[in-house]
Amino acid sequence: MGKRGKDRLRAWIILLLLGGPILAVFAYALDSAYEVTSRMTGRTWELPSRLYSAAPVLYPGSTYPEESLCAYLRRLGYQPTRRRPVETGLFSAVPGEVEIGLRAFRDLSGDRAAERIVVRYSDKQITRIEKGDGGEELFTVGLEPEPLGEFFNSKRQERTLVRLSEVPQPLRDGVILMEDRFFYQHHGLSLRGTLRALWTDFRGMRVVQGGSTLTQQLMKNFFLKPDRTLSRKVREAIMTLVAETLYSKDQIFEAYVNEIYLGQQGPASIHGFGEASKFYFGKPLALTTLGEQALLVGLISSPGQFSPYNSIERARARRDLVLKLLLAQEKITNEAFASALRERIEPRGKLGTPDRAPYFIDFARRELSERFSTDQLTQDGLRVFTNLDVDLQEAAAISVTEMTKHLEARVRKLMKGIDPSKHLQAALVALQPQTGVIKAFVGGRDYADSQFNRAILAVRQPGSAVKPFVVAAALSPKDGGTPAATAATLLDDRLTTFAFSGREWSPRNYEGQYLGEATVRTALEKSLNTATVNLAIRTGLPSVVELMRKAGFENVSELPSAVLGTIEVTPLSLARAYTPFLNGGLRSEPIGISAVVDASGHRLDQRSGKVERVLSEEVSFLVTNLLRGVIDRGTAASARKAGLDGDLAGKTGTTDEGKDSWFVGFSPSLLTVVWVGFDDGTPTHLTGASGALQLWIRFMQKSRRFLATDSFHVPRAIVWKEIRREKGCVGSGEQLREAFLPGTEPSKCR
Amino acid sequence: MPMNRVFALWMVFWIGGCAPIKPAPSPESAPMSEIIARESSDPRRAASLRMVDAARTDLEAGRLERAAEKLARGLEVDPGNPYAYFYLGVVRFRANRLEEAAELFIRSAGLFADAADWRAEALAYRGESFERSGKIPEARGAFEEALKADSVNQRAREGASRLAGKMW
Repeated sequence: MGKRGKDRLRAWIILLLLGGPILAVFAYALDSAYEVTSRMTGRTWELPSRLYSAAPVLYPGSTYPEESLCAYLRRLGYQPTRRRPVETGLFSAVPGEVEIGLRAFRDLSGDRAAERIVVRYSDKQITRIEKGDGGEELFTVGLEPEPLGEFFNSKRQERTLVRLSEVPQPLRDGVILMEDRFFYQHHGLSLRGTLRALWTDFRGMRVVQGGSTLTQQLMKNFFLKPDRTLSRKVREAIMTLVAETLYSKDQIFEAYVNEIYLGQQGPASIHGFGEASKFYFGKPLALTTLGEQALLVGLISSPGQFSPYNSIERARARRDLVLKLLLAQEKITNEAFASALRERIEPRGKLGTPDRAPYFIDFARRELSERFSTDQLTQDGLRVFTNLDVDLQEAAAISVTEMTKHLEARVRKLMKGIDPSKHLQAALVALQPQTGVIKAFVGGRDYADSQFNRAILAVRQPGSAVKPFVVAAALSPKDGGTPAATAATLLDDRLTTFAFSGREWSPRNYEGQYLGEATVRTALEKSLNTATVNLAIRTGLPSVVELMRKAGFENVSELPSAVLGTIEVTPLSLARAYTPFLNGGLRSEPIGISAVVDASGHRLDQRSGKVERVLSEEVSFLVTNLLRGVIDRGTAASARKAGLDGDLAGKTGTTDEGKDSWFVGFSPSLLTVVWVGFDDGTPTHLTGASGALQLWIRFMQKSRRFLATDSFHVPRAIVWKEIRREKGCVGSGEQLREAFLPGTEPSKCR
Repeated sequence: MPMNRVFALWMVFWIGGCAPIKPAPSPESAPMSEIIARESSDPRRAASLRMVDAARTDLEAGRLERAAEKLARGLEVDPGNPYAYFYLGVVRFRANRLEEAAELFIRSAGLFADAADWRAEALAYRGESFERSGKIPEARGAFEEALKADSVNQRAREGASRLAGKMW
């Protein structure tokens, strides 16, 4: 190679040696710029989606208890006060009267302005609701829904966004003074601060000091791991310069007040002043006092150290430091300073109660995942509205916890040798049959112990809980003609061997007891197996199976054992199947979520109940009327002995050896299904009556005051007749007032 | 025949032939406040009716889903409110969920114990639901039932006429 060639080669080598790193730096800077812009423009933060309960509706005549109203307000973060008139976010309760400073909020109906109302009670009933100013009467008032839980990604960041205009001025001043006094003058990097920090680091031979501007802190919070390395500082510096170039100071400051880390609640980190004010003071940022704002500012440098939950003294000292700085810089007056110093520090806890319904949240998540991706759920800040009633949910959760313990103790007494690590489980689903909305939902005894959601995943045999469908098929007129039976029809109830498709089957009654003969009513009230099979044969098995399929039972075979419940259901599917009995013969689809709204208020999803005809209105009432007897006289009579009054109906269900204990119980406005058993099918020897029914009774005792007391609607076409109870015909003897379709009433006894 | 008698007969036929039975206005046109006042002795029914009233406003504005929400809340407060079922049926009807609409209308008709005009309106809507679904025999049956409940129900009369092949 000649000299020229060597020179050229040398030049190329130099170019590559220098150009490579320059290109690399350029690419690095471009990448940083891209990260900054993609984070600062459009969706800046990852906001978890929030799930909300149904909101109580107050109206004159409602029996919503006064103490429940106060408890609900507290959970929403309303603070009790003695001062009247109350301010927004506060409530004042004296016997017979609750005054509430309702906050502005946005629910499914739209934006609601803040207002003050007075709710008056007398004899455990709301007698009047009026506006706080002027006394104008209000006839219905919906409260805010309660947050039930959130959908986080792995970062688990809690955040409530605020606009810069919503940040109180003293707080803005405090942040600037404490963290970056020359924020509005510098260009992102503080040369003095950085050099000072580097010198300190160099002397200490490790990176120890910050020296960061607000912009640098923002970049650190946005992207970077908390490790303090030189490379991280370089990247942070590049990103800071990019941000300062592309965005205004106010934009950067707004991002900062929403991003800054300010505390920890369990696994979830608290980001931004909007969330922090709720976390520490239980109120929106706009309602914080000067002292509270100073405390929040003081948290920035070390939330753990200065959190009032950890040390009131340290929090106070830090707060006072911020206040002194504000006074020294004439950002606040002497009077305001003195008043803020006198404020008591009383951390009040986070708004809402996380994970009140963990199994329901799981169920909701499953429903949502059919329509939304995980990223949308965990980052887009969606608001998911449900109809879950928090009072009924609490009653359900407590009942499941208490009764499974109690029942397990009984089971262990009855059956020695059960593995001590095995625990009796339960599930409870309560829904409003007219609309299908789920009001309470428990999928197990302890979510922390087992997340298996039995309410929707435990596929079990329902046993006798399917018998009402056999009766419904029997009572339904065929092709406009006469039904196969009425409530008064006598059925054979003796040990019988049935032959089907070359096989033999001898169903047995519970404890081998037979009545010889029994009316359809008695057969259902006492859950007589043989009589029920006879009824199914009389009706025609295909008719029974067809009705069961219409009711929503799946994989129902045309085998006689199906009429005794040898099919598979989940608690939720069984609840769905029973809805026609309370809804004029219409089956309602269960609904967990009613609507999904994005951060801007646009509806992304809306669910509304679908209904489908299963039975006639008249037959559905006839069956309900029979099921009243199950509670009044039959296998669930212990409900009355326990003091449950009112118009109630239900059906017990038990499988072999008590592997499954079921109870379906309902009032006109609430249908509840309870299942009790071991997950692995270990026998419990609990019947529906000794197991699931007891749990239902406990649930009803706790929730009764929240439920309307009304009666089952009687269709106009129903005819009533006094008949002999045991014989099902008209004559003397113990009488029973029975319901019939017109023209099917029984005649005189022979 | 004397002319005065002829004239009298002519007047009878003229008045009789040209004075059709005046169809009744739809019960939906009645303000809900009247119904609320009538049912105010039951506070749950009254509260539920107010929600129905609010739902009617949404319905008139075409906000079907909001109307459905309010009606569902109304049913939570009072599960036996026939007006809530009725308007839920109207929501489904307008959303072209005709089978459901037909079921909701028959449900509401069953609950309108003493309100023959509303029962007829519900049955007439049921007839229209069947008609739109192409179920003509069922539609005819529903219109006939509506007219039995209230012979001057306009919706039922028009429906029956359409299906009979002529308009009055």
